[in-house]
Amino acid sequence: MKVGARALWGAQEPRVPLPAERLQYMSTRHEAIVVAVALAMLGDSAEAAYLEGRWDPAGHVDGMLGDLAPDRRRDLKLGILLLEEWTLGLTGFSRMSRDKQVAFLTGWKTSSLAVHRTIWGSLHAATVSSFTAVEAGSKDLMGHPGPCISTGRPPGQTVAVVWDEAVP
Amino acid sequence: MSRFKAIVIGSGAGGAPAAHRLAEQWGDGVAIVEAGKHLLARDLNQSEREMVPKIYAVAGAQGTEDGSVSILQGRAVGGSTLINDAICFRPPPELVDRWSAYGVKLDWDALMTEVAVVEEVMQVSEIPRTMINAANYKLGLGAARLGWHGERLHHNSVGCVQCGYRHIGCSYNAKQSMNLSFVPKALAAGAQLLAETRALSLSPDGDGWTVHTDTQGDLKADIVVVCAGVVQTPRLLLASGIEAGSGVQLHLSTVAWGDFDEVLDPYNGIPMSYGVLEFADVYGRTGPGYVVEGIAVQPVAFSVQPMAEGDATEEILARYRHLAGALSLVRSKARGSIRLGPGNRPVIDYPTIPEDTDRLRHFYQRMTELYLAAGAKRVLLAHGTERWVTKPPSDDLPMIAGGFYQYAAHPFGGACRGTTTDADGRVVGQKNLWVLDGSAFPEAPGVNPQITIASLARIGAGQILAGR
Repeated sequence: MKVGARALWGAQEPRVPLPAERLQYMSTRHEAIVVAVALAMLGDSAEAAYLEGRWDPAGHVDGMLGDLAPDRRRDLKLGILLLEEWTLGLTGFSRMSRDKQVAFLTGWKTSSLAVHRTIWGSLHAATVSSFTAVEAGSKDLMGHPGPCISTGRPPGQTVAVVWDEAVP
Repeated sequence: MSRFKAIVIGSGAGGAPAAHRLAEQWGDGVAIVEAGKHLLARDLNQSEREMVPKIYAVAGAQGTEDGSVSILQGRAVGGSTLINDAICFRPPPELVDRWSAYGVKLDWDALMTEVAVVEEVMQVSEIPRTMINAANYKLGLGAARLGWHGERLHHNSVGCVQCGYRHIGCSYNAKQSMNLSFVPKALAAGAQLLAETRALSLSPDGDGWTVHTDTQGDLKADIVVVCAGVVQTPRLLLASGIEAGSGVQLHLSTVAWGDFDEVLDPYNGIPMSYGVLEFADVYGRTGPGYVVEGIAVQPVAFSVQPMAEGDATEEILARYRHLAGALSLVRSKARGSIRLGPGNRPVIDYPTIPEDTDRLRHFYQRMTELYLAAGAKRVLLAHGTERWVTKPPSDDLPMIAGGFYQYAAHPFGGACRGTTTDADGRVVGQKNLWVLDGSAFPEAPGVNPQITIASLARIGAGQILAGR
């Protein structure tokens, strides 16, 4: 049985700092939606990393917003809010069950409305890249050993290729 | 106010060779104006999180206005050659006929003369077998088993340690991108490099030009050569009141991966080292018009490509070490445009047309066949509804904008020869203003373009020096 982060918060508060202390471009409302989207996009391993304070999707997306031109930043922030507004009749995205959130995102990805697909693409790229940019994603889940420079591992191939002479 | 004989705006595949050739004759009368930073090997730390915002245009978030195509370009001294995968193709001979339709007559012998110079300076060589990694080898193996034409690619690298991080800048000074090849040669010939200087607009100044910049004030020159890249070159011309921005074309890329039982560790080794030209329409081939190249990306770049949510994403990421991937370079038939948005931000519009999506679907179908032939147990497509497949998707697979992962690392046009510029690259209706980068291409070439751009830029610089 899957257990959502929201249900766990009562017993285990995330260790990431409060938004007012660290987020420059997003409100607490944005943060709640972004965290919900990130957890829905990424599954259980990411949720565990979030609860353990090893992954901060809202902080990452906030930093990414800072790199965008002002009008693009405004568009993405509106897209985040649109996701919540669109689902208010269903209690709002950030309060849906995880299964319903995933189904809702899948619906937007395959929607006939271009704006849905655009928002899905932006949120997917922002949240998934925030997870694979930290070790909880890249190392623990994907098995990547980390950059050669920072880890000291030698560069080069690690899997031998036995060349078939039929291959040019 | 500084005055130069020539100002070259941009230091990438077009700007650096042009500046070098001009500086050989005019020395310190040549200035290179570059918006990005001048980074050294020690600044390139292999961290995707740190490097992508630093050296990619719009922090890696550049794309078409509808969000359906990400457009990857470099923003540093060296331009996109700093962040490319160092793949080198000679200009396809088909360009002579194709470009003649736009009134552009290429002197093939002159072009090949410059190609030889460019290849020598950039130290281009065929990638040896010993440097083809396990993931790229699967591409070659599948092609060979199906009887398709595959080949080891050429790259501009010497002493490559095969770390796998070419796309965020070589930390070992092995990749001979422009910042390590033509820019140093231009500086040795006397040219000045003004990095972290953005050209905002141009104003006529008699027969010359004033370049208005953000950090150096106004710079004057007798001749201005714009090589700021396909998005920024049209942006600069438009911001200067010069008609530009039409005729944009892209090489459209999507991705497929074979999932193998054995560990491949695709992040090690040269990321892009093998190619399949079976479906190309260049070099005498008559395929539908796309090149296939191996791709083995680092975690962040990989993870944004599969279009999944929830547990499906986790399953994909957990198979990372077992995946061998390939990308398409579809020679798009569509025509897009670049216009100015709020704050003079360039806005890129690009239509999704059946002639392109049919070939992207064809790529999914053929790569499924290829990786299964190579021994994969299933194939992962960067598509919103068809993800893991064990047989080629049908011709009914929907290909709507935003419904599959699509990006372009090779934009062209926006200041096309035959419209904004003349057949040689002079801006029509303006004196002493040239465009010598990919934005002057009247049509997408169909292969990785850095050698073609650099060679044409050298020809253009030669014409400037000859006063033609």
